[in-house]
Amino acid sequence: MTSLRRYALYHAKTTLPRLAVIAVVSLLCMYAFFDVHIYQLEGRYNYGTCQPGTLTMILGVAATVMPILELAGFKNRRNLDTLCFLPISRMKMAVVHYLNGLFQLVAIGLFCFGAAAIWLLPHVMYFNIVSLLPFCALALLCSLLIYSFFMFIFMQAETTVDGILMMLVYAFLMMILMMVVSLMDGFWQYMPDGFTLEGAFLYSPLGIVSRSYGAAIHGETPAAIDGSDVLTVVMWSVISLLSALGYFITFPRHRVEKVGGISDSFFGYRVLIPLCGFCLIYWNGEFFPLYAVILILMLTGYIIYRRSLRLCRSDLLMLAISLALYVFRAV
Amino acid sequence: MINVSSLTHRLGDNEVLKDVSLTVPDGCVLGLVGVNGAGKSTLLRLMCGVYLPEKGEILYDGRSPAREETRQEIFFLPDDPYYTHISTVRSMLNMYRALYPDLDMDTYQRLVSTFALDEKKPLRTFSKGMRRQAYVAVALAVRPKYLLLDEAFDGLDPLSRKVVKGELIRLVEECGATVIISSHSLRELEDFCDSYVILHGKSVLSAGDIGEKTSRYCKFMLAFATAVPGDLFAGLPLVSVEQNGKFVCAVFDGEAEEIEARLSAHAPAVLERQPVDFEEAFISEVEGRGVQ
Repeated sequence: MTSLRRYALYHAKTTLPRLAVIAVVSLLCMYAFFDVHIYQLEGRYNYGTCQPGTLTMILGVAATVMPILELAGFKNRRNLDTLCFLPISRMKMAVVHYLNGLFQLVAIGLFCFGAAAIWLLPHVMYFNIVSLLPFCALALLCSLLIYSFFMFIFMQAETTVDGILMMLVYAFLMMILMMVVSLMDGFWQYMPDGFTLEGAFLYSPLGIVSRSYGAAIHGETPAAIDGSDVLTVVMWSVISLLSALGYFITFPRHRVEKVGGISDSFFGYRVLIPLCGFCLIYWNGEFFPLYAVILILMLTGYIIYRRSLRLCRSDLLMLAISLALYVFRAV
Repeated sequence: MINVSSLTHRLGDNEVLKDVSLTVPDGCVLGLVGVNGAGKSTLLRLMCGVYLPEKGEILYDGRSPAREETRQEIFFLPDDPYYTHISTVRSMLNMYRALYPDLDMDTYQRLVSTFALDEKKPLRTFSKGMRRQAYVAVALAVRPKYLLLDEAFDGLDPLSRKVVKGELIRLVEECGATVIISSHSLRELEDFCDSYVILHGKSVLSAGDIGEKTSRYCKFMLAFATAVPGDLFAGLPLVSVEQNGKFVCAVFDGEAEEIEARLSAHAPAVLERQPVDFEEAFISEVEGRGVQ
């Protein structure tokens, strides 16, 4: 047996209890929110309702949490001392952790959709249970996009807390960028009909699938997939594919000695803080109170980044540029 | 054989190792010593592949530790190994067993029973010394060709130290293993290390055979009936001296007979030659280079 298979088996075994816990929590969420109701009209059973969005919500949360669970061990230098000398290449480790998280994500998805099918089975005459199959497949694919994206982002951080903060900001980054781009002349002219900024939200592909198949489960004709939806899914597919590639490139090259220190990756705070700050200032225009809030947020970001009140020259320069940008927009 | 050549490494902006070169022959037990922050742990992490060197190279029989085939022959025990809230000796063993399929269960069982460790109890409930015993049991059970130990005896009681030393010697004799141990307890190293490397000021200050190192120095205890002569050490290769009233203890780097003859000329009431241990030799070496 190769080192890859041996490590994969060991890792899968040790993470099984975690999978069981997530499955139980998912089932509790299903119980609380799936909400199957059969309505009686004139003494007869007439129609049923449920909340298919619960399934995509669980998958969205699982796809967000899984990268943290899979990679948090690599954000502890003491742990890396015991991991990195092991006779397995770092690329193989990257593959094992990526695939293990992926399998667990798929397992949770299948488990939840299976539970939904069992739930709806006694009321088969009111629900289109067959539509759960494509719903499941597409929802899993969409959650894979989120998972791959966050695997890359989390890997860029040097601590778990930084990783979580970066994931949070990145979830909204594309939306912030689109807000700015949408201010430019002629932007909407080139966008598909019905395109809104919501499409730039990381979880939008899951939302599109939930919306379409939610209707299908209730036996209704789903809203047609329009150009805006296609653009959203294509955009996030490309970003996720690049993220997966980035993950496999950066994981083996990640320097152990930097772990626990300042998250100085190009894809980390260094670029995130000024990028988000400048975008928000540009979008805000001349409204000073909001600029003050953005400035405070940028300053807070830099303090978190540096873990100190003493900022670097480059940080102060970015804050100065933000002021210049505000003046430029206001004038 | 391990060859480290022109190794340079930085941790952030801090250059920790600069142009470090050393050779460790097969079957050797090497003591890696140095003051705090000398770069011992960094060197061990570079040698086992945890850190990737910025400059220079490390070769195990001509193979880089970056290759997993090379690392199959290496085991590194850090000074403070990580364990989770639920880690047990058994779960730790399972991890290493997954990647070292030839792990010797007999050795492991023997050591676990010698140390009277409960395999099913969480490591967090163990004392520091007991955790060390558990890690050492796993490290020795792997039977690596190259065993790198960082602060190997830290936290171990005298009986456990004796057991570990015995097991290390056994590993070297039975498997021809090469052992590198970093420690601040130089007297511990002197007992069973063949050779030493002193790291200081980012590079190798001194390296060689421990026996030769200690025999190079000589130590004399002197007592005078009257005041200690002011020119007592004039022209002598003095390395370090401690004076307490009319009593003097001095370490010299030179021929003992010649030094003894010159000290006798001052007619001390007592003149006694004493053996120099590795710790004194280390202190003499480091202080002799003008460092504390």
